[in-house]
Amino acid sequence: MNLEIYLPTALLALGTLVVAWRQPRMHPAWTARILILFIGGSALAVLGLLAFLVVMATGVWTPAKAALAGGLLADNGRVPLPVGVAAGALLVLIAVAVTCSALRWRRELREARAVGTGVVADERPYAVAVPGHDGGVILSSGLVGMLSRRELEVVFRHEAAHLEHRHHLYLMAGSVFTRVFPCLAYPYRALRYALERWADEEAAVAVGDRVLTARTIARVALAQPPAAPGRLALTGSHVTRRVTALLGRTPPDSRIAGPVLFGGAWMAAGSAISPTVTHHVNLVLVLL
Amino acid sequence: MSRRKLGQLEAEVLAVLAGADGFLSPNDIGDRLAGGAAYTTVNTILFRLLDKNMVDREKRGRAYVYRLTADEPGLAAERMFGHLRLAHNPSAVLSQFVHGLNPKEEEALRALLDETEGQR
Repeated sequence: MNLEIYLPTALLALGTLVVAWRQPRMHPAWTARILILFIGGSALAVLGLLAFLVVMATGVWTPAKAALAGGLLADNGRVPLPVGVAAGALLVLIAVAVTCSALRWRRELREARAVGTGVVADERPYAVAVPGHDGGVILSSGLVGMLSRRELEVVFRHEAAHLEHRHHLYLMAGSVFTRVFPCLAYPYRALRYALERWADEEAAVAVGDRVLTARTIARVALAQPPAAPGRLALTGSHVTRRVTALLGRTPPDSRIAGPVLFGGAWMAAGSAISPTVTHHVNLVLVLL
Repeated sequence: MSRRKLGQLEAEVLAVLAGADGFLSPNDIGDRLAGGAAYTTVNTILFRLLDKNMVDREKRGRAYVYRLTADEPGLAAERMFGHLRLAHNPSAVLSQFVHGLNPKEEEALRALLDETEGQR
């Protein structure tokens, strides 16, 4: 077996980590688009690789077909059976994990829709955007009670931006891709942050006051009940970074740099996937 | 104008009402929405909001004018899903405005807030 078959996938995953780590300074909308593209590309490359390993190891191919495939097989040599079995097991695990996520989302959406949108009687201050045609915003009376009208406008604008740009689709896709390839957890966190920043920036433009937007976010975050020790204590939320970013300079609108870099990312991801995928697909077609 | 979902329009109408002092007519609201919106669409949204106790209205001349109230909870708390679960385990479908903080972040954030207080 030749290690080269892992190379494009590994490079793309590495590139995704680098992009998430060293983000170019641009509008968060474009950061989010580029991140989801890289995350999706990496996950697809991993899926393609696993499927390929399974096919190669399970000996679907016969000597006659192998002769037909000729050069292709000579390129790669045989994949040892244990590797193929491991790849198959991983594929099954991925399928289970993705199904679990999908079921969780369905339950959450159903619960949220059962509540309806509007103000809910609850002391804890929170606001939730519910996607979908009949979606909207759920606010707690605690939030309404602590905010001025201008601050409430910030909250509504922020949630409206999430709904307008269908951020839940980015999050769901990103979450599925992370299930496929857990190394993408870090870029996925960067994506979550970029989506929040995107909505923050839209809210700041709509209300025309960055400091007010920053203060609203900070005040609502500080009024949250203290976090349970554990998960959050380690990772932290993005709130401090969001507030700092809003108090800093306005991001460039990236009207040119955004599409250019997005195109570049598209080509990078595409060229990393296509040799692997087309090569694997060709091989599978020949063998079947 | 791109087709917007009712949920998104609802949030935008609420934002417009929150940003306005006093009452607005459906036409005023439509004008203030980015990209504009048809009178009937705005009215549909306003009726939904009226139903949810998010706005109240007053007759002015022949037409109604609306304002944000939102101080009467229209939804029962016990029907609300586990907010704490959501706060510490971010959901992919439901975006929350903010999540809880850890002690270090809380300290940093308080310092930032004090700074902006000084600027004002």
